[in-house]
Amino acid sequence: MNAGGNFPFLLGLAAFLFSVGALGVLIRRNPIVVFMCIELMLNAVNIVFVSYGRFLNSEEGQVFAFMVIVVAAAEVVVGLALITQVFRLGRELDVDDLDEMRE
Amino acid sequence: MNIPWLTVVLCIPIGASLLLQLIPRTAATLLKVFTVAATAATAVVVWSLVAGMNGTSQSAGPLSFHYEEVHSWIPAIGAGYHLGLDGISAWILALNAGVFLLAAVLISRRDTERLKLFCGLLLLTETMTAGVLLSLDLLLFYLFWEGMLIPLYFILANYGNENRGRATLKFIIYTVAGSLLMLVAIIALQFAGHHGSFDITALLGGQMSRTPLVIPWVNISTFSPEQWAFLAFAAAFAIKIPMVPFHTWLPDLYESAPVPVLVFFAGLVSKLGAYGFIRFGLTLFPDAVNTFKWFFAALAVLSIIYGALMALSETDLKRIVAYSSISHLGFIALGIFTLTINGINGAVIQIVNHGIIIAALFIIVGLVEERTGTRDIRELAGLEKRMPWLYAFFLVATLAGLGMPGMNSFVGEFSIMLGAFQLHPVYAVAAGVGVVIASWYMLRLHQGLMHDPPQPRTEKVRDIRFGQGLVLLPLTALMVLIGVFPRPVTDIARPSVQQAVAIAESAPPATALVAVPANSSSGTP
Amino acid sequence: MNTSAVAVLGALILLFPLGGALVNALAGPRLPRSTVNLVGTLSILAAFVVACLMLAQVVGAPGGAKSATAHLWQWIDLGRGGFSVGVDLTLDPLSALMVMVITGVGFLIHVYSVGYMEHDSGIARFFSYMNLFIFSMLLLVLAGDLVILIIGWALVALSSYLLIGFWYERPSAVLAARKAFITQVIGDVALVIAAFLIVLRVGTLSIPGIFAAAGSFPSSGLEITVICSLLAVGAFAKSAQFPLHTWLPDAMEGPTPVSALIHAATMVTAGVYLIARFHPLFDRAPVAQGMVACVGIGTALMAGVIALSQVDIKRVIAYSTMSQIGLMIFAVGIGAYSAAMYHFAAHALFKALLFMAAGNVIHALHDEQDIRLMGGVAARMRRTELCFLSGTFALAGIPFFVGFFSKEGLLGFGLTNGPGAIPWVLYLVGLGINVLTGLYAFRLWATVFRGEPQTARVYAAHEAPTVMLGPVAILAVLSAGLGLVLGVWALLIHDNFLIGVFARFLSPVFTTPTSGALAVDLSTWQAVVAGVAGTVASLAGAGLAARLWLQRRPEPGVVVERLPRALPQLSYNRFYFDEIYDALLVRPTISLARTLRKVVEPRAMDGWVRLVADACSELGVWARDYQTGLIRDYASYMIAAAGLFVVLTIVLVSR
Repeated sequence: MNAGGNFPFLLGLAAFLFSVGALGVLIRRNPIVVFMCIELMLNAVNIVFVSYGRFLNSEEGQVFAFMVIVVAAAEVVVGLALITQVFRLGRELDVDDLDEMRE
Repeated sequence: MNIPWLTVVLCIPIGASLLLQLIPRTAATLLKVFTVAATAATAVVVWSLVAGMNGTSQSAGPLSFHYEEVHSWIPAIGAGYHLGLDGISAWILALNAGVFLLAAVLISRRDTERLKLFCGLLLLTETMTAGVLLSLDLLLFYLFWEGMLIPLYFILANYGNENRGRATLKFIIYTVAGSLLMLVAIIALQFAGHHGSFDITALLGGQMSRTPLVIPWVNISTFSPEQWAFLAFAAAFAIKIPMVPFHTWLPDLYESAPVPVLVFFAGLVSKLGAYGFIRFGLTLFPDAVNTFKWFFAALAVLSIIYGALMALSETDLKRIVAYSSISHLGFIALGIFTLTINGINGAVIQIVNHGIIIAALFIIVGLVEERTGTRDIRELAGLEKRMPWLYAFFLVATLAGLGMPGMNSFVGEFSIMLGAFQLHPVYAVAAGVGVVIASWYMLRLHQGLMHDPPQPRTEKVRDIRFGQGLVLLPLTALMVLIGVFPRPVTDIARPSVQQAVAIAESAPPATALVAVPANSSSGTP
Repeated sequence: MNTSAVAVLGALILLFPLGGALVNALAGPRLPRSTVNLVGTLSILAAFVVACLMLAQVVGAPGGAKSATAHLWQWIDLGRGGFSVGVDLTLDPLSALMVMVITGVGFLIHVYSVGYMEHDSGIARFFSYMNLFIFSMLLLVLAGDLVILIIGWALVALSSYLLIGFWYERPSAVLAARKAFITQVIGDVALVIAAFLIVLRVGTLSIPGIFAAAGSFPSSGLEITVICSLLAVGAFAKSAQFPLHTWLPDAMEGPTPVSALIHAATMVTAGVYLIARFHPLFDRAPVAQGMVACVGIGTALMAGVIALSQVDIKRVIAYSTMSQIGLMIFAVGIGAYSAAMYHFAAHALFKALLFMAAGNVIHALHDEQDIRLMGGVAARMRRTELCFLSGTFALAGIPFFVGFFSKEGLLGFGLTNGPGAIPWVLYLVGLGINVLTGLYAFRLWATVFRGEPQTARVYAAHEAPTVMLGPVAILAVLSAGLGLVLGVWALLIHDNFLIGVFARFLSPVFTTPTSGALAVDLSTWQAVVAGVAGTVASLAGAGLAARLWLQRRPEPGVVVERLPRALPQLSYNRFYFDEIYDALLVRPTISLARTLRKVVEPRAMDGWVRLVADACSELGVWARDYQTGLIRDYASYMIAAAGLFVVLTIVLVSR
């Protein structure tokens, strides 16, 4: 099956998802939502990888997509652990409030 | 049996520094004995390797080596484990083994805090500097070149006087800045080379483009890629030597560091820049070297005279010796940039000579400070009466330092000045002025300490002990011996120097590329 | 001559003094004084014996083979494109003569030192330096390679430095030593650069090789003139000639035997030797020769004038040395090499004598050196006075003393060479120097030995011990009789003037394929005229001195007042050279060095480094404002940058 016809739509979908994710990261304050938005962006990138792989008839796109999924999983582990720790300390879950590392 | 001796040379010190960790911290004597034994073992191996060399080399090629080891390391990017020892590196490696042995002996004769740390770092540094001298693969070279800074940082930052932190930071940042430029050039070289390799033998003769780079839009043509790459290498080496005006880290560092550190730091580490110029500057960028030799020779002359004048006006013993070192290293750099057989042979022999002289001078200055409690030349006088043996050793070292004919440094300085004269008489005359000022400041140093009636601080000092004399004896003996029989050094260095010069000369100057008809040009691949 | 014999003799003559120096340096402080004395003197005696053997070798060699070069070992060899140097020793009549004088006079001075340094605790150090000096000097004159010559040249300077500063607790001695050494280094550098020019032209540094290739230099060309001028600068530094002469008077801070050995008999004549040795080059550079001759005679005149007003006994003799060496330099400048070498040999005898006799006086007066505080010493030191007088006569060139033969002959040569009226002018100047020599020589004798004692010390003085008087007496007899005896011998056996015989002995050296026959020769009438005129001038000087300082008619002070005021001022202040050099060279260098340390190093050299560091830290301060700690901000920077990148890519691709 030729993916050529779907290709622009797939890219458009990816761009849309990415923009939604980026916007979410910028305007939401709850770290869990920010996290989900980041996942959204990563998955948008995954779509690009896979669809380009299909378009160029190469496996490398899928390989990279797997790579991204693995990295995302690792990131979730670390990120969620951090969020849990912050919650346990009794802090409000607000990313604007967590700026102690600045100094 | 085919023993990879060069790898052995690299492995003894680092292996010893690992084994050292098994010795308890409190067993000071054992630590000292072990360190001395390890450096002595390295020295024996290195010195027998060098003694076994003669004029002919084993491997073939435009740059041939007496001992060579090639293994693949990271084949994907063309980096190999390529070690080699030729006439140029042989004597510097011998010096390397010597100064580290000397430093270990000095350490064994005094009380040092955190001795175990110091001994471990000392041995680690020796592996790194030996690696710098042995590597023929640019990436490997860079690894050792930067790796050297790690143990050095911890040594310099932990031992020495109260200003050491500042001085060390300055030195490290300064050197790293130069090295990073070199790293960029190394990568560019690998891209430019035909074989996709970091190996020096694959990159000989200047493989980078020699057409000037043009800045887009403004249309200003600048240096060619080869010249840019050479300048990047030169930044690393000129800072390490150091050449004026890149020298300001040196006096502060030498002032703050303790004597055993100075013995190998001033004796060897600062020579690695000069070695780098000979090994890589000449052979990898022949065209750029020919273009820039006037400029760098002028910088070298500036170093000679500037260092000499500064040594004339300083009052702190260690700073006087530090600036004298800048002046002498200027001679070495001048010899290299003459691109003549005479000049480069002189530079090689002078690297060895200066390592010996500066080690002796720092040991003597250290002894004087230890005995009198001051390093201010204005408070010192009349030591000859109290310390006749120190006087004798110091006299020999002073004479060697001022380039006295019949002493070792005359051999080097004569060759270097002859080379400089071939480049242009003005350089030789200016270097001659440096020689005159050198005799002035060296005598000021020597006479300032030794002559005139004793002062309060020098009234009751005792002469050096037998063991201390025993440390100085081989150094002074070498100063005289090399002065009388310089041939063993030059005979081994000569063939390699000739090869390096031949490569540097094989590149037709950039202008000649246009002038010479295509059919008559030869030599360059 | 047999080269292996040369090698053996050369090695021996070098090893004896070197061995003596090493033994005394290393074991000396532990050895008893008598052993130190024996080691110090016997090593030189042994060298003297070897020197006699060398002379016998040269005399016995057949006519065409008076010169031989032995190769000891290869010093350095840089192969193709580089230079090479061999440790070669050359024995020929010239070096044989030098070796004889150095070891002969040197031995007598060593013996004398045993007495003079009797109460000094550093005797081992002293003898070790003295032996080192003899070694260096022998290396210098025997060297068959220019680099080896330079090594000997510099070692001579080193031992001179060590000996001038022997009494290192005297700040003046320390400064004098440093000054002498640095002046010598200037000469060394000139010599080294001359060596560069030579080796780049002829491809060898071996002295016979250089001479063989001397013909390749175009005569009077710029290159050969520069080479010879540089060689001459080296010679001037060593021989204390204008403008590098200021170190010699200060060098009198050393012990008196040192002054006798180094600053009169041997070291300072090394410059004469150098120019004589390199005559094949100088013969092709008439401009350089003329310069050398003018500097020589100018220095001779200047030093003679200065010697008239100095009050330190050793400095007077030092200036007379400078003056006499000026004459020798003049002689080599006009090509009268054998005359110069003859005067060198004679001068070594009588100047060592004068210094040692003066040393006897200084010793007897407990280190008093000011001649205004002496006077009337003769009554207490009769023998020393006689010896001193013999030296004075020889110095002034009174007939039949050894100096007469050499000096008048030397001046006579001036008549034979040179364009136009210049020889006559130079000769007249030479006569003037003769008058001056008579004046200052007899002034010294009269003020020291005659008249009334000026201090109580003189009354307490007594004659020197035998070990000091003996060498002085030997030299006195030689300087009084040697010239006459040899002169008669030359006339009877060789049917020639002494200087002619001497010239014939040295002719294998000074006759070369390039220069043809002997450059100049003296005809009989010239010799007679020169002898008579020179003698008259010397006697006039001596007589004037006798009237002024012996009979004090008129008072010397009155004479000085009648002279133009500038002349005594210049003379007393040594023409202000020390002050001029101090103002022109020393002070500017030191203030330049101070400026570098105080201003350039912290401001410029470290300044640019600081500037870079400060710029980096400023950048950091600026960038810190953007580190708000809000993740939102960081994310928006990233997204903005990514967006910018996308836009840029699109623009660039679509272009």
